[in-house]
Amino acid sequence: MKMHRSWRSGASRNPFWILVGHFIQRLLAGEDENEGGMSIGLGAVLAILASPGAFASIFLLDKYSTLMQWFRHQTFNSYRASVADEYFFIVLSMTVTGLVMVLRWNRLFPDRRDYANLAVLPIPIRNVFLANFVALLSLAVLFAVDLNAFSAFFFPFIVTISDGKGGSFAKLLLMLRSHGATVFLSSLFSFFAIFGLVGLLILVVPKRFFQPVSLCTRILLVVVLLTEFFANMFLQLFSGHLSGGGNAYAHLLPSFWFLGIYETLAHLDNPATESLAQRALFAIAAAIFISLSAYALCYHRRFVRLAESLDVIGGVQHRHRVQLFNWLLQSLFPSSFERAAASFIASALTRSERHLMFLGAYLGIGVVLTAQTVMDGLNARTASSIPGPDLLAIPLMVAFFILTGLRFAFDMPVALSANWVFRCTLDDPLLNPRPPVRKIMLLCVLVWELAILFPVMFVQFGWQFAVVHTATVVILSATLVEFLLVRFHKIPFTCSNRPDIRVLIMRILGAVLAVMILVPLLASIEHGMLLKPARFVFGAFLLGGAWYWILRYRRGTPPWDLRITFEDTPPPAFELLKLV
Amino acid sequence: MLEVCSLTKCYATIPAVDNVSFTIRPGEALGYLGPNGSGKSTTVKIITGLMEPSRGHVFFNGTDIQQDLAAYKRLLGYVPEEANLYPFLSGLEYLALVGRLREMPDSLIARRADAMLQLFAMHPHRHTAIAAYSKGMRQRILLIAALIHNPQIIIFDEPLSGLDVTSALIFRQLVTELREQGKIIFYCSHVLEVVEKVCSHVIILHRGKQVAYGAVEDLKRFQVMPSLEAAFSHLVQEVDAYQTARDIAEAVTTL
Repeated sequence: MKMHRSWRSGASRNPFWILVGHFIQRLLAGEDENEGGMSIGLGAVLAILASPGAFASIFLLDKYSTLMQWFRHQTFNSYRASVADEYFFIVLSMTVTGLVMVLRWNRLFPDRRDYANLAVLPIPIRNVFLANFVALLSLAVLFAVDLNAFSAFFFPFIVTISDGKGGSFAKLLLMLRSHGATVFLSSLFSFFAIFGLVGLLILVVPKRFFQPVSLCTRILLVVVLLTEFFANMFLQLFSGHLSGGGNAYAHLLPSFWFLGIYETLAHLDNPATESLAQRALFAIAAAIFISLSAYALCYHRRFVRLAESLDVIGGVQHRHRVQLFNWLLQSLFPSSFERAAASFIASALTRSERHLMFLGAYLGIGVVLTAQTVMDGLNARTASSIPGPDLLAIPLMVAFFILTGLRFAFDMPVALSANWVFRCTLDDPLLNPRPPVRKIMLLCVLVWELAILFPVMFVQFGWQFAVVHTATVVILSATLVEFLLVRFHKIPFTCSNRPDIRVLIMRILGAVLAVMILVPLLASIEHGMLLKPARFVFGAFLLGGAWYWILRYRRGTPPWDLRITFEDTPPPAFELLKLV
Repeated sequence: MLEVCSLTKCYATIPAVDNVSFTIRPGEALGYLGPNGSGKSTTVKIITGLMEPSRGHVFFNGTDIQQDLAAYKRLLGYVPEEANLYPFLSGLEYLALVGRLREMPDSLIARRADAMLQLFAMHPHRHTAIAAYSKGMRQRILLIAALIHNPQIIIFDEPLSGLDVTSALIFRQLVTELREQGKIIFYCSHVLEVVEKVCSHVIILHRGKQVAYGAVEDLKRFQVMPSLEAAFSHLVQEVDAYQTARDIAEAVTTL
């Protein structure tokens, strides 16, 4: 006890461990420098991370409960059946670890701020780098353990007791070992793979292009991780053919390799998965080797030379604006206010990490649902000259996700220092901010609807269908834009209040539900109209009704509600002082 | 004594600092002046040990600082030009971090941080996150962090940036007091009036080269100029400041 206390006291005074603690705090701190908030508590993070695995394990009780099996008159080999659920836990571990890494992307390597603050202190610079790695690895191990803590015991337990014949303590231990090792290794693979990727990007990509390349990679990773997760969770694109694999492409997924580890360790006697297990172990070894090498190289090539690079940065950047772009800008946005707002929106959308990450995640869900619709549409394809509702729904679904994603993003403020210019310069309070927003939203959908959808439809189904379908999609997109802008009286990103995360989640869930109900309905209506063109009258009537409501609502809006707002929640007319 | 001998730093083949030499004795404050891009920041990075020179040496008490950089950094206090602090820490947490990494006892950190936060009028904000600090507040935290371990050598790189009038006045007096305590002070700045008042010696750099070095009064006398500003303009100014200002004003109204 005394020795332990003296070790703790020594560790708390040792600059290296102080640095490790500092880097852990830095990793947990909020990403936004302007928010002024302190770091998220480690306890809160651990609780959040532990909950998906815990809930998933509890939900599996229904499947493995012998009582429920008896009620359902089911009998199955619980060990064999556990493979599909193990796959879910593998994907969960990889996705959550991956998302944490992507979210902390800019904090994974020591940066200029660390150099500026720590390099002048009497500690070797290599210790700064080493401490950061130790902090990162400690958190990764902690998160991997936490993420799988509940399921590591509960899942093997329910699988073992569900098997009436062979359920023994030895079998339980075997399952505990198999499941624990598999999910832990999955998390570690995800950690090292992304860590190595960041290191390689730092080493390979020229400094000038690093920011955009890094951002694109992050967005792509979010989309890939979410796609894999939701594909597994809801759609079962791959998990219908798990072991032995009917789907050759599925075996390219790293998550499947780790399933091989599980089956091998659990002695499920599937020779097909042994090679997958070997591939998983090789992948882990490769990820560790690449990430450590990249990290060491980054230290030598970048970090120790930061002081020099600080002097040589800021060179002249030549930016040539294409004349055509200027002409388009002038034509589409004739007034100076519109041009200013459009430029602001475009810059914020393409440069703000937070907004791009949000759009990436949201569109990732859209990709999954659209992929499912594509598969359904291809499976249900007939020799008819008119495509089925599923295929008709695809462009609508894409447009819906893009437009609603933009609308949600518009409500997220950029740094307050970026929007003061509108507040200072706009002297007309009744200026309508909707036209530039509407045009940007329409541009985001019309371009591909006309440049991709129309030619594809033309080649596949002839010009008549192409014209009708593209026109329908364009009109519906325009209607959706108007719906989304009904109560929109602000310049995007200039509002000062961040949307409540609960409200945002509810909105996103609402949008996803809407897309699952509304889009198939609209596609079915369109399909019906295409089968009997006389029904277009009904469609026109519906559309007219929608536009009538929008215009009526706008006319009914009192003038004071049309002012441009910069505060989402205006100060209350009165407030209780609560003096007592 | 801090001694800089024939210091040269080249980026590729271009010298950012070219053969600069000077000496600062205990109790002296050296003002380091020069226009933008003259090599001031590069010199600061070399004498803080952040960068190695291409040629030349920096000696502290006769020993090359590169021989035992950690020991040299223990005696060094540095106030950088840009307050690039950790926004998620509070002012007090930042000072504690710096103190602990300098291996100061916690009780000493607490005593000194508390006293200095009071003196710099930062005590009420000590638990506020640095993200919420103004530029001047961040600068004051940097000043405290540079002084908290009672350094022998203090390097100020534009220390007044963002400081309010009262803090700037206190700071000027502080430099004088530190000199009297026998500290070695290297003061890099654009504010010539302050350098003239607080520094005993001055170096003027132009395009990496040392164009003047000596006591402030000697420099004025030698250049036959009434002030340091006039001497500086005479040595390094390549444009007519008044004419350029007139041209800018005209461009604003006519173009």
